[in-house]
Amino acid sequence: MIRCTPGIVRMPCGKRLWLSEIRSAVARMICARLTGWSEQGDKMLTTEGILESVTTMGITHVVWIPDSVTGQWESSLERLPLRLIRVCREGEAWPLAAGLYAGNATPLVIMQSTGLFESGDALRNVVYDLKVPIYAWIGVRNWLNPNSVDSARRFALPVISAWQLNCCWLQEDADLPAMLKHYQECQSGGLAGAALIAEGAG
Amino acid sequence: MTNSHPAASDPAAAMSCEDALAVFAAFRTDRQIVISNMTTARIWPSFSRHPLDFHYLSSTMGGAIPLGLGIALARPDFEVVVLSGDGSLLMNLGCLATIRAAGVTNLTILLLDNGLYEVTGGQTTPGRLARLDYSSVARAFGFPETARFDDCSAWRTYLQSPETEIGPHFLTLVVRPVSADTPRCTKSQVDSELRRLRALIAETGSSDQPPRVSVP
Repeated sequence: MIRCTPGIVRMPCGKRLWLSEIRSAVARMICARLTGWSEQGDKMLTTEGILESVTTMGITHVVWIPDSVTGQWESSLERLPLRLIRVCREGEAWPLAAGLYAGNATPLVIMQSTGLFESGDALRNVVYDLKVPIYAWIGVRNWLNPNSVDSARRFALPVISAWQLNCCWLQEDADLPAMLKHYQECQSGGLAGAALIAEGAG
Repeated sequence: MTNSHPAASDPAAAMSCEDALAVFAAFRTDRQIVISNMTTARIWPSFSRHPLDFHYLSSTMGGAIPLGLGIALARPDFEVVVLSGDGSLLMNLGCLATIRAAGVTNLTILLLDNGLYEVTGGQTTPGRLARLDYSSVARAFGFPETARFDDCSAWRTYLQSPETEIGPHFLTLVVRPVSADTPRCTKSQVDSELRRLRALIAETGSSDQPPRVSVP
């Protein structure tokens, strides 16, 4: 390929691509290789699928700060036989979930990637000092927008990688069985884990 | 108990941290899970070796109260007492709203307020400069039972009297910095300690009863 103007690359076929597009494509390829995830057009995650999964997981408490995707589940989650615990910042969520675990409950943490950035020290302590096998759903903002210049998108995978979280991807209902299998593997291995929810703008 | 603004408190007249915790230790019950943290984790073990003690070290600063809330939510048949410092609370002040929203009644926060970041050498907290009265802050968050003590006799008298309000409770103990010769805390294997506590909680009583909740 030939580089023409700054930020634009001309491919051998003649097509011109932004460097950011190439970086995104490479990131998705690496991600797919690591997690088995693939992009599938506009297929989506439904509230019904989510609720069924939460029930199958035996979750007793959802500890969350919603975003514009996960927030759509609020009223449905409230109808399930579990407690929805609203925290004020994500740094509260991890130790609160650890306390629930200590009390023999089964918590699920839900937050956006921005909240993951904010709560890194709490995650570090709970996952690596307390060694609590917390499971979380992390909404990765703008993951489905390859041209997004959102820095939250840019840093999501590097930060998740830095925390060495055992991850799988969630984009559509067809991914839920793999997520449930991942959850069971984490629980049986006593390991923390996360499902990364591929989101659009949030 | 005092209703005066903390600005009126004379640090020299405040309780020693050791005395304040010794008073509490004398009233601690077998259904209380006590979570110590930071400075209190250095002192509490000299007054208590109860199996339901959890010394949260190493911790995430500001994490002890959320951890206590989690246990309180999971096990409403226990009372959870969190020994927190003022600097830690400031790190996570929103947790007071989380507690009220969660509706637990079985959680007590004993806030040891010395106006300092003690574990890092005694630097001043912004709360001290802002002359915060933490019990008033907790009251504004809707805690039904709040009080503030700067002497041991009033603190002891309070513990001797029956509770008048349902929890959660927020009690500020105005204390002096710990003395320099207080032994440094030996960090425990906090993961195995948590697992031990978890197992003990599991085998003690039933968690089947519905959570006792109050309307915030």
